[in-house]
Amino acid sequence: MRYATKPEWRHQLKCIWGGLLALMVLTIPVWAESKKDPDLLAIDATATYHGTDFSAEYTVVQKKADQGESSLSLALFRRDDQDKYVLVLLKPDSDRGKGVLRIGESLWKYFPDSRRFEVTSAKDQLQNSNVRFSDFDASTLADDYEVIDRSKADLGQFKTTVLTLKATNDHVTFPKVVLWVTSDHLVRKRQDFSLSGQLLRTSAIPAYSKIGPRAVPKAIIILDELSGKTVNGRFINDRTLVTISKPAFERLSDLTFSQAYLEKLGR
Amino acid sequence: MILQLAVRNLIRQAERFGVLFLTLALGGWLFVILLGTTSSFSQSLRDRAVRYFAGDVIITGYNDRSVDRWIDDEPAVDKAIRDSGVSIHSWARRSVNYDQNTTLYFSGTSQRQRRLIGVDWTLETGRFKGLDFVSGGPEEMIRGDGILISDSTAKKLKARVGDQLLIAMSTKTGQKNTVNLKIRGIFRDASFFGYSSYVDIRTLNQALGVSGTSVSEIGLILPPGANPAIAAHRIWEALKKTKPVVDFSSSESELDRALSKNIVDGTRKYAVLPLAVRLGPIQEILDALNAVTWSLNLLFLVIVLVGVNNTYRMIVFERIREIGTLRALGMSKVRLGLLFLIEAGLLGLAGAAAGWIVGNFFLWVASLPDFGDNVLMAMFLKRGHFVWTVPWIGLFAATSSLILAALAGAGGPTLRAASWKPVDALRHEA
Repeated sequence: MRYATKPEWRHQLKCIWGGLLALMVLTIPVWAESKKDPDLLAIDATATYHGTDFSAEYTVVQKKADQGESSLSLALFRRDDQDKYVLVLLKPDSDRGKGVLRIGESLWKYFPDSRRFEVTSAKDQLQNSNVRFSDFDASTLADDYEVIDRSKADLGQFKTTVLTLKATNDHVTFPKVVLWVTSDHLVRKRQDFSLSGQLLRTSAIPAYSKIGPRAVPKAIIILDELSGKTVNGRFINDRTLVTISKPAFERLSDLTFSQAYLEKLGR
Repeated sequence: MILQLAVRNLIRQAERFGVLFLTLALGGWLFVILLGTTSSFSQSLRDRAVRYFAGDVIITGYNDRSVDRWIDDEPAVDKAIRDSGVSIHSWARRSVNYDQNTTLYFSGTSQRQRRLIGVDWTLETGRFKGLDFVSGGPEEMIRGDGILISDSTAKKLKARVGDQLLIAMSTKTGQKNTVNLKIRGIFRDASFFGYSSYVDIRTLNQALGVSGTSVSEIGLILPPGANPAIAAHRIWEALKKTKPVVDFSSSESELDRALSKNIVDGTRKYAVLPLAVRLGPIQEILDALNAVTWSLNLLFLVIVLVGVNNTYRMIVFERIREIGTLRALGMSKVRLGLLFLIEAGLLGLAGAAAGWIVGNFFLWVASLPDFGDNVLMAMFLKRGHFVWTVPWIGLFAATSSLILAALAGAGGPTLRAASWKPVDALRHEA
């Protein structure tokens, strides 16, 4: 029997350590992924549209106690694989042509009158409504939150799992979120809280449209938990109704997700 | 002797000198009104601005985001202030939230704020007692759970002292945060300084998600009469030895240019700003007001000069026989000239004094009504009232000018009067 000599033994040990190190590095994404909550991953999967582009028309009706009702229409084009979307205002006529372009972490507002792009933030609100630009993003709950509590609850006709989420970074708008999720991983209700635990808004999604394997909300009702008016002893919250129509999943031109596209539409 | 003679002449010939006296008094009155008004506006505005912007000189740190202003190294700034040798009356430490999405809520109604200012009440409670409070006050703000709001905000929210407000804002990293605070005071303030609220610095810092001791601005209040621009420059010179600084700026436009030039990467750079820089267009209005005031004063002086000159020519013409009598009795030309000049000087002094008295009376009357509801005027008023101030230096200069104008106006005719031969003067028929 031949035994390994000292230099050979050292070489073998180096190979073993190197292999172990390579194995660890290669499996880091798996480890990271495994730290993400499976429920949140599943929710993200239903709300994110990979392998295709998404387009739809949104009608946003804002009801404010002291200002009455206002509405606007917009077209949304989204490419989740590349973290991009374009939003173009269709109505009212005074705002027609205004748009928003998001590419990765960068977000611009476009003003057709002055043909000017202005850097903005995903945390900003759309035309002073309760809807934020971040609401049009693909869902990244698994990246940004961890589940700190789970329970069961009935929500009208739905049997839901209630997930209490806490932000894992300080870049998200709402540090605490509570979700009511049905067994098909669709969010039916959501509450957003401030860092100090104050309820800021409540969103409800009563129904979804099923297009093949994908689901798109038909409507979203957003209640502003801070603003409203007391009428006959009852507090009526300001609310926003978002209706989504003509959802479609088909490949769009690359030009759609560019500043040039907004400039062309603005003309 | 000549002085007695001059006084006697003025008294005995009061009718003759009456118009001249009224002209000089009118000039004095106008000087007092114009200078007093401008001084009052400046003083009121300065007091408001010093309270709003934290001091006559403000030190802050700029980053590449315009609303992200912090002082990372407060000891270095303190050392620079000491090393500069600038004399300071008092100082302020503040944390300021410039995010205009900051909103106050009460019973469902909301009002956005231009600024939310965190104040170190251990240093500034006394100064805030000078604010025009409609109700409440700053005394309990040191407890940390209170807020001072403007009357326009209180009106919009239909809130009163003692009510609990919810303040919604974003942390430094953009997360939504809220804090509940009790209204401790409601103050009256003009639109330029309005829609800003004051809270405790520790409370604001906690809500912003920064350290409780963080400071975004240090304000220095200088002793009366000190020049903020000179003081700021001295502090800037001392600070630039140890910290990166923005080019020194003495106006808003200079600051804009300096920020564009100096803030190019993520390095925080310090700016030492005299109050005029922060006042921006309001300072330009004040400067224009001062320029108009002094132009008008100069115009009145010229009018007074011409008026006195014309009137004295007539007076001398009417007194030729008197001049002849005095010369015949042995009065020399020089003493005669001196007599007339003393008369003019005393007339100038009396006119200025009368103008002073009447002008200050008018200023006092103007300080009585409450103009608090007038939005345009509000920033120049104190507690809704015009402030009756006496700008001593300006008035001394104006009075001296009036007397000199009287002397200058009388000078020519006096020289001519003194040059008359006694026999010719006695022969003259008036």
